[in-house]
Amino acid sequence: MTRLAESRRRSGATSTGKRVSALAIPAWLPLGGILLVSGAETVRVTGAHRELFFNIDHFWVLYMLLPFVIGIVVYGLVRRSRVWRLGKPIVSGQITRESLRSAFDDLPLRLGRLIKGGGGTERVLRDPYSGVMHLCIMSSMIVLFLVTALLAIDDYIPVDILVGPRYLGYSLVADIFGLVGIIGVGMAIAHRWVRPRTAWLPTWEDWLILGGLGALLITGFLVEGLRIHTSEIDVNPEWSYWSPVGYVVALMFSGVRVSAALDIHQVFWWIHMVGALSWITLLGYSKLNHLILAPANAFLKRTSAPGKLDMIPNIEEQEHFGVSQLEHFSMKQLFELDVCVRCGRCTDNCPADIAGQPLSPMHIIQDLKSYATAVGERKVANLVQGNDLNFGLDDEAPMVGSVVRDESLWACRTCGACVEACPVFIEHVPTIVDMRRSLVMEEARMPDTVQGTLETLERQGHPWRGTPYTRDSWMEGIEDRVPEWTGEQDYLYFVGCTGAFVDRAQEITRSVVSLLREADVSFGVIKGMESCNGDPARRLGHEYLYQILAEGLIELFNETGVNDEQKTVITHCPHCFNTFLNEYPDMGAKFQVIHHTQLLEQLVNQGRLVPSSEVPEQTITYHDSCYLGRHNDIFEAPRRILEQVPNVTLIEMPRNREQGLCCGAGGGNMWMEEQGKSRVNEVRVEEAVATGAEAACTACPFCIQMFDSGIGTVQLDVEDDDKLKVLDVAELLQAAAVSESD
Amino acid sequence: MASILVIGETDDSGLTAPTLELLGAASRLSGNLGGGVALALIGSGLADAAAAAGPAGADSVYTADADSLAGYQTDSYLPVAQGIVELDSPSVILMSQSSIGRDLAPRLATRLGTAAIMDSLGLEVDGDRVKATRSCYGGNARQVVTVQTNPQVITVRPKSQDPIEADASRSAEVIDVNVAEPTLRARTTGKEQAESEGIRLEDAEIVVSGGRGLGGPEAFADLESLAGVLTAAVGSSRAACDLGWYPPSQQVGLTGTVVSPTLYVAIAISGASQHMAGCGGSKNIVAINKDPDAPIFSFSRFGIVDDYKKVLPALEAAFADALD
Amino acid sequence: MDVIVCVKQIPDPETPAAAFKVDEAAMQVLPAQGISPVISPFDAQAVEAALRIKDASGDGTVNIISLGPDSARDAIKHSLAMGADEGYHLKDDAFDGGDAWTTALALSKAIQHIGVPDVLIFGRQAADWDQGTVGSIVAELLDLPSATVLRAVELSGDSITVSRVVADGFENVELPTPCVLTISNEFGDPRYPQLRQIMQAARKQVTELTASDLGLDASEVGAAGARVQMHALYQPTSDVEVEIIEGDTPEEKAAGLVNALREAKIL
Repeated sequence: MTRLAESRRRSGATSTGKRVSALAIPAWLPLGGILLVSGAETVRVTGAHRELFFNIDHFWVLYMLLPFVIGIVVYGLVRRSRVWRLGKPIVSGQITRESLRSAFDDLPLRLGRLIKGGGGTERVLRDPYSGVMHLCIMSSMIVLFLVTALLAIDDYIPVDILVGPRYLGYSLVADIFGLVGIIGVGMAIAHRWVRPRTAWLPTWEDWLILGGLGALLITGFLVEGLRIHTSEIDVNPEWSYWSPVGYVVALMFSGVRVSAALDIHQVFWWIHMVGALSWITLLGYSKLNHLILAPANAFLKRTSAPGKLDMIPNIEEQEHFGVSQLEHFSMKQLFELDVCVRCGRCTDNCPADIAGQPLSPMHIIQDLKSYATAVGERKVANLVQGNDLNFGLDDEAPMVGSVVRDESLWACRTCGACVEACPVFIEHVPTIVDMRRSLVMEEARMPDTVQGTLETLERQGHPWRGTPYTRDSWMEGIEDRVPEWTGEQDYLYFVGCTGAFVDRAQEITRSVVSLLREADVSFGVIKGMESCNGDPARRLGHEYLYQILAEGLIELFNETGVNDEQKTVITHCPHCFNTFLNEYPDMGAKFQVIHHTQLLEQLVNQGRLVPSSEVPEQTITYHDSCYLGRHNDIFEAPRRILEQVPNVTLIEMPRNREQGLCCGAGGGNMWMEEQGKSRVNEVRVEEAVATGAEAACTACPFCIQMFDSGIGTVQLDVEDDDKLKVLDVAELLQAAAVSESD
Repeated sequence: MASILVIGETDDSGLTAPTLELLGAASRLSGNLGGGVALALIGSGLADAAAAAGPAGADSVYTADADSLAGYQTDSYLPVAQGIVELDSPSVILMSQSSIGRDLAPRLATRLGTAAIMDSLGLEVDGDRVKATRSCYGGNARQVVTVQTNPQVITVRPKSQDPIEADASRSAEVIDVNVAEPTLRARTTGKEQAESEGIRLEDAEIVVSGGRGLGGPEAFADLESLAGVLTAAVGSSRAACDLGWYPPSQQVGLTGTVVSPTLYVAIAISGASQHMAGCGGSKNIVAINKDPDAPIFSFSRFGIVDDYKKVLPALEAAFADALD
Repeated sequence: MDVIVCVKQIPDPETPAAAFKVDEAAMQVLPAQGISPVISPFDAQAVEAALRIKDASGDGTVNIISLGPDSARDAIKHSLAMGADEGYHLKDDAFDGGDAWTTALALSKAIQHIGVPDVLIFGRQAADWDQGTVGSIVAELLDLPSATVLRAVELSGDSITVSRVVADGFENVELPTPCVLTISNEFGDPRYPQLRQIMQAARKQVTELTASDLGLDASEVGAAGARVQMHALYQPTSDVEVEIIEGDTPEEKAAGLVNALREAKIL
């Protein structure tokens, strides 16, 4: 934990230092109260209205400055984009028409995300407190921008719109949203001050943005109040009621002489205006840039399943494997670093961080961002000067290993909770796995148990080192009831390595076979010849081994007639499922893929499986496997099966479905020794036990093992009969739907 | 001339136990082969050991006694052994599969123009050949082999043969061998005792391992005590390590150390696959568990169904007696 | 410092017992389905030791020799991927059916053919036949000093300091060069090859040498030259059924267990 704390401090210090100095550029110039004029200014003519630039001379200065401010913002972003452009074009791999197309595929989905997730801040709103806070600030800024723009338009078009009741309504809306903005800023400051989370590390950047915005809103009201005091309250007090905040401020100034108040008004007006323009420049130099970058990132997010890892094409011809230098990232990955606003939601949802293990996705992104600032800028300078990209950078600490530590990369479960939580659509997992790829393939540096797992995969075609079983051990005694795949059946049941080599999972395999037989499904099993589909190798970063294993399996599927659009592969392992469904098409797979819970649900719905037998009355909580749920959106099928089993009451853990907590085994952590305060599976088991459920059901053989192991520790002192039971959905359904005779 | 030459080893107490076993085996084999049993002793201060050779089954003893032979060095022992073989012309040479036998046998055999069979578990005479049964493929297979050239050099696994009942009335002729000053190329410069904290898990021939069923960290002290008697390493299941009862370095399992000792004593370990992945390669597993349905029994050769707390003290005493 | 390592490709010693099968008539181990042969683990450690010596000395080469059928090439490639420089494959039908002696004879000729290096390293034993003699025989044939079953190897000037595993601890031994070393499992894990090196190794040419290239007559090697003859190969009867030691008291059970272990020759 100390190391983590250090890394947090480091990231805070560097990134902020750089940004503050950027702000110190004599860029502090002003311009038109466009953004936030809020409760100010109007003219009085006939009926209610106010005078633009009341009491102000030389207001044209503002218009002169506007282009400068825009230029400064654009300069900041363009300058930063040179770092992004160090990366590979759009997606990993060469720039081809295809890579471009993949960056802009599925436009409706991308535009939907842009609108809902970007403009609509859909994900920001998931957290009630910061959702409200962000909504207050954002709505205030939008409304006040429109208010100001409207006022200017009104002034320059021949017709007067803002007159009479319309003006009064307008004035009220402006005041309300000014106040909403102040509330939002107050909430944001309180959040940091009153109950700061470690994840945030409020920095000067935060204070500058929030303090600046607060000051603008307050000076806006001061200017409005002074205008009302000096020109409205005595003449048309009934107008002033429509600017309630301004009215209160005016009352506060009631003792001030009008001439003095006019002077003060001028001072505050200029402060407000110059401040507003200066604040706008932060768009190009601070995390305020998320106004522009976050919607862009929502658009750029991959449209593939979140659990998919991109293939390294032509791997044998690559100059490097995975990412060890900034320029090995894709442009989008580098861009993403700048989108991060340090909200910490990824870390709050990260199973490793929750268990006190050395991984914080936010700090990975932030540390890389600092590194991109420090080293990326120098690489850009090298390019500009025609030097070698890495000229003079030999003494820099390595990005992988130092900036981002090995143990953080290994602690990642690739569960996607961070990706799901990120309000600005950052995809942490591919970035982490890309760096793992470098560790494994480039440097061959990995925990011993990972090496053992990879070696076993290479040599024995499965990851279960030391298993006493063979591929077909699970069917001992029931060989004649396990139909061999002939190429004629509809479904291939792909048992997978865990289902074959791990005794607890062998029971699930037998349950699935029993259910498929009960429902008279046309299926078969490739006996003895199956091999790993490569998922563990891929998650562990060994893309090359993945491709070899996948090519081998596709070849087997070709030879045995599985690789056919008419054939469907059933998996009971969500990891196999994800790889087959989302990643195998890149390897030439044509077959359909179905998870056993999907198929079983269909069979129950069709009446081919009737869960009629009484199972003991019990309350069950369903644990979502990350690779089934979050990564592939299968949340309901297993739940609907459970709901149809008599005597079963389904209850949920607080973290469920999209927010489900990983069991701890994902990302190859099944084969790693966890480092940190506690173990992820114990955290999750505690959550399951806390529901009061008698059993936990899941649909993943990894989750089952992790639960079994966690229960032993969490419920050490509980009598065996009272311990939480852990079952696969198939096992429960088998108890309810299959008569003993089979 | 003897039919069998045993190249023996000595320690402070005289002939080592494996040497007595070799003499026992040689006595039995010589009955079928014809000829006598000779013992070769190489070292320094060998008089007492030589005197024990007759009662243990040797007909004659060659002693190469010199200060320069106090510790084993390939370069010093090899010519001496060669000299004794040339004097004795045995048809069979037996050595223990010890650190000396392992090093010396193949070099000696080569020097004599013959070959060595290593680490035999069983010996049997077939005509003028000694058929040796030995373990191979990590214990998964056994092979029966003979050396076709002469003399037949065979090393024997300690404890695989029984010594004969010592017969004090027997004595062996002692033949002193001249020892030339050796030319050492490789020289031993020092010796370290194995770390006192115990044998490394992965190297141990015997592992005593405890699991969650122990109920607390205190029990590991009892396991260590038993391990002391057995010269075993102490392991732990992942569950027990996770509970902080024993250091993670001692974890046996998929994510810990993978061990394949001759004997794995699983105490209060249920036998989860995670754990079996680490010890499934053991040649023999003995399980002590109060739950007769614990999966560990299905992997075990022997089992005791009882509370380990009751069995452990009795077991330690029984092992201590047996190994004394 | 130049090093030669002799390696062997064997059936994966981690093959689960359930998948391990023997053809008793042919006296051969049947390949287990889906399980690839591997470099003998001690040999991989030997390659590791060689690479560390090369690194420590700052120059020199690590060359690999393997005698065996086509599959032996994979053990060579694996060693090259770990970082070794050149590979030599002793491949000839005449080598078939050989024993430790004929293997060592051919290896020693190959070593002389390539040039005797400063250090020759072997694994302590090949994890198939578990004999552990080839290194010592080669040392004897080449008349070189040797140290066997080592857990550590260090370069000190022109000589080599090693730590030898013995019954009650470790012996430090100093050897001049050239010398022969055999590496034990205590040495530590061999490196995992980097992908780039795997790919380079895949492209690297392996020199093939036949018996006649080494000046050996077919009668000297393989089954014809073997000095050890195998009469049987079988799997020990499995002890699948657990024997529960019964007894009225813990003492009886304990005594029963100890007896059973003695009878089974485990103790």
